[in-house]
Amino acid sequence: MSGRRAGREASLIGVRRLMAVAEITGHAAVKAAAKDPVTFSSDLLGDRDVRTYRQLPLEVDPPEHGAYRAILAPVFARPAIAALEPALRAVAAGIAARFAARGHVEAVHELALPMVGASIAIAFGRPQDADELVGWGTESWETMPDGRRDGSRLERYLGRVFAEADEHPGTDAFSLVARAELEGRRLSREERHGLGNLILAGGRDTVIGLIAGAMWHLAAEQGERVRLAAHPGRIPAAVEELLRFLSPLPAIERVATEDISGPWGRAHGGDLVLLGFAAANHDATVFTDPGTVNLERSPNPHVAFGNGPHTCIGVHLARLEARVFLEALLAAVPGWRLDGEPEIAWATVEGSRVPARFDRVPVEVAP
Amino acid sequence: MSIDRLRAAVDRDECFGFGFCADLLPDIFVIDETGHAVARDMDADKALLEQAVGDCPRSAIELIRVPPAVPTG
Repeated sequence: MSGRRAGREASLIGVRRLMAVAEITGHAAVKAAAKDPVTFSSDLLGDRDVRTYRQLPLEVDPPEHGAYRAILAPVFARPAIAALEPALRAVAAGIAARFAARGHVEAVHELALPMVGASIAIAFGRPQDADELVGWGTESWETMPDGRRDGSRLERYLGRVFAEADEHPGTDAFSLVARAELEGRRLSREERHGLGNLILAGGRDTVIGLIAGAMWHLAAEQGERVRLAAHPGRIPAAVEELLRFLSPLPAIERVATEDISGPWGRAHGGDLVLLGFAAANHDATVFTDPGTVNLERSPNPHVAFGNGPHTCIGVHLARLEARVFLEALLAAVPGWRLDGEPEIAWATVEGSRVPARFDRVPVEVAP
Repeated sequence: MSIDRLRAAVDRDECFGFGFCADLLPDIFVIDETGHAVARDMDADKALLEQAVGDCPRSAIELIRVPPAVPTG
């Protein structure tokens, strides 16, 4: 273990550049790279402006990756997430009922944010923290007046919940991490925070974007809303298409461990490269008319959750949140439309304009 | 003349239980109580089986050719 860790630090220092030199695009190339952790290593430290330790298991390679992942697996396993459905339905129903009663809301902060904040608080076994997680707003990192990002709010939260986990161990995710053992030893503070940081930052802002994007897209699609309300069994396919089109995590970093090249460009061993999940999801050779949202698209082999060993550990939770949210909204109100101009940051992905961030999506109940 | 069947097998050491296979072919793949996929030995559409193999994030699914138990020739 110590030998491996030493190797890890050495290779970290060996990263030639801190900015990616190329983005791998194309569905097949991105998928192949994601499945090849030997050539495309995750042995790196990202978000250096807001954290000094690695997100785990995201930023280590197999076999260490598997050991860290196994610690979190009980929280995110399919049966564990399925058991949350009644609780998340209740959250969604409450949010939808408030929208129905008021008639208009700002969907990012008043629908998507409370849905995700409450869902992850429940999923992590700390429902008492729902309001606090909602209070963080749409970004886990704070933005300072000078534009810098700041991670101290998240650090304070992790420090507190791990202290409570040590003092009064419970059944929550942080207690699980706090008492986890790896090769016969307890986890270090950095390892604990690395796991906690990942589960808080990884599935919060992304799912807020997904749900806000669903509200935005469906606001203009009355026919689709009517169809989904009449056939809730088709909501999961709609969620998959929104995942494909929006790709809430558009790309992720890897370190090339050797010189590589492809239609996307070239990189030297030690260079940072990006796996372009959004680009893969807009590959016209795989997805017909990729710039158009087709909520009945089938098959839909998108890589919005990545692929390979680092495939999103929260895939079942993210899908559950989006599905029960849409089921509740479609059941509670006859429909909705935009109530003013939405504030959206756009990106160009393989020639299509795709929302990259939803700042405000005002909506009103509409017949 | 007989045609081999295709049977899916899941490598439990590789499987992380994402369940993409169970979503695609719920009659064939089930996630057991330990969170791993298990493949039932049943006939399934070849194209869907191949899609399950390609979709598995862990490349944990293998297709095995099985000769018919009783030769029909």
